[in-house]
Amino acid sequence: MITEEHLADRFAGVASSYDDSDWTDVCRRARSMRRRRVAPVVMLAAVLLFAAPAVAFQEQVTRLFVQGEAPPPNEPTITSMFGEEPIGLGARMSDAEAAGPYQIQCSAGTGASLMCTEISGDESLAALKRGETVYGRTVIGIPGGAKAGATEAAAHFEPTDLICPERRGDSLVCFPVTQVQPTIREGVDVFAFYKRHNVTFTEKGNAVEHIGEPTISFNVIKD
Amino acid sequence: VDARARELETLYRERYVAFRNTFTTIMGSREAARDVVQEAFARALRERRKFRGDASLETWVWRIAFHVALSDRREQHVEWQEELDPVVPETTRDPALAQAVQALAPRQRLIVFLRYFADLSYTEIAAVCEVAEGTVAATLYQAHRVLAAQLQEEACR
Repeated sequence: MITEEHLADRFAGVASSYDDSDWTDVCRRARSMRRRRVAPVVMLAAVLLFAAPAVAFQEQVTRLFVQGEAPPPNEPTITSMFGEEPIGLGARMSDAEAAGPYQIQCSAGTGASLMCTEISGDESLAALKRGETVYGRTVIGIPGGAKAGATEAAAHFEPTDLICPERRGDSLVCFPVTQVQPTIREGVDVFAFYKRHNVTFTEKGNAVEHIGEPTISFNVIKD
Repeated sequence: VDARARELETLYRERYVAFRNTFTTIMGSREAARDVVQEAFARALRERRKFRGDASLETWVWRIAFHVALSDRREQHVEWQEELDPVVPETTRDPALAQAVQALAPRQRLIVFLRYFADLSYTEIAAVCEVAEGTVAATLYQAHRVLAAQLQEEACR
């Protein structure tokens, strides 16, 4: 008779242990649900509060807008990220893996970020042993932020980092940083920063990331 | 952030993969399953003050998640439990297991997956599926027998 333990092991073998959780996305969805509910009420309140007085005191309202201070310019923000994902597992990446283009598949974007995974990424994470911790990185890039031939930013990277300058359909094409030698184009606020983190496989087989503080934030390097 | 929200965050961080894997068997893809889990936790977070503590917080979220998953399914005129047809997601990793599981009735499969992918106890499965604990035990007993027979047959080939 097959035991529960035996079955548990068999099922663990077919389960994906890749952790693409994103609590920020959960919070964002919860907030947008609230906004959807509140929106009609706010609209009605806006009509009552602003439209009626605006009709009665049109001149004052106009002056308010004309004379009011302009809103502050937007802070530079990352508007379109390539991905926020452990790209490569430095300690485990073999030379052969690091030598060629690396493809990453991205899901539909959520907010300003895309959730990406290596096309064969499941395998690399699933291959970890329970309780094992490996070194990984998160690289965040901006379209158009990387180009070959310049060297200014290269010193900030490590040889096992990957840079993903191209997007092809739903895939990112990534290269070892040693081949790309990335820099930042003029007019692009931030090219990339990366976070050190470790991935630990718990005894239950879940992958838990321990993300540290961003280690490097790049400034614009003018051409 | 209140204590309940923190509890939900902790639950999410500890159990996300279990939720996603279980719903992958139901939704057919990891992407769709992820969307269900994200949406379920978002709803739980928004509605957290409605949680009365009749069951565990996790059970409550599982129910919400099934509700979310079924909302999509209902558009295809599929009913809860009886009509769900969960399958082993990565059949190539263990074809024998995938085939053996297909010998189970869909309802048995659901309970098996809640047991092995979600790692829920009999009590928790009973609460999630709104059935008696004895029903869960009996279902799993029968499922184990079928799986054992199938897998042993496979091993003898």
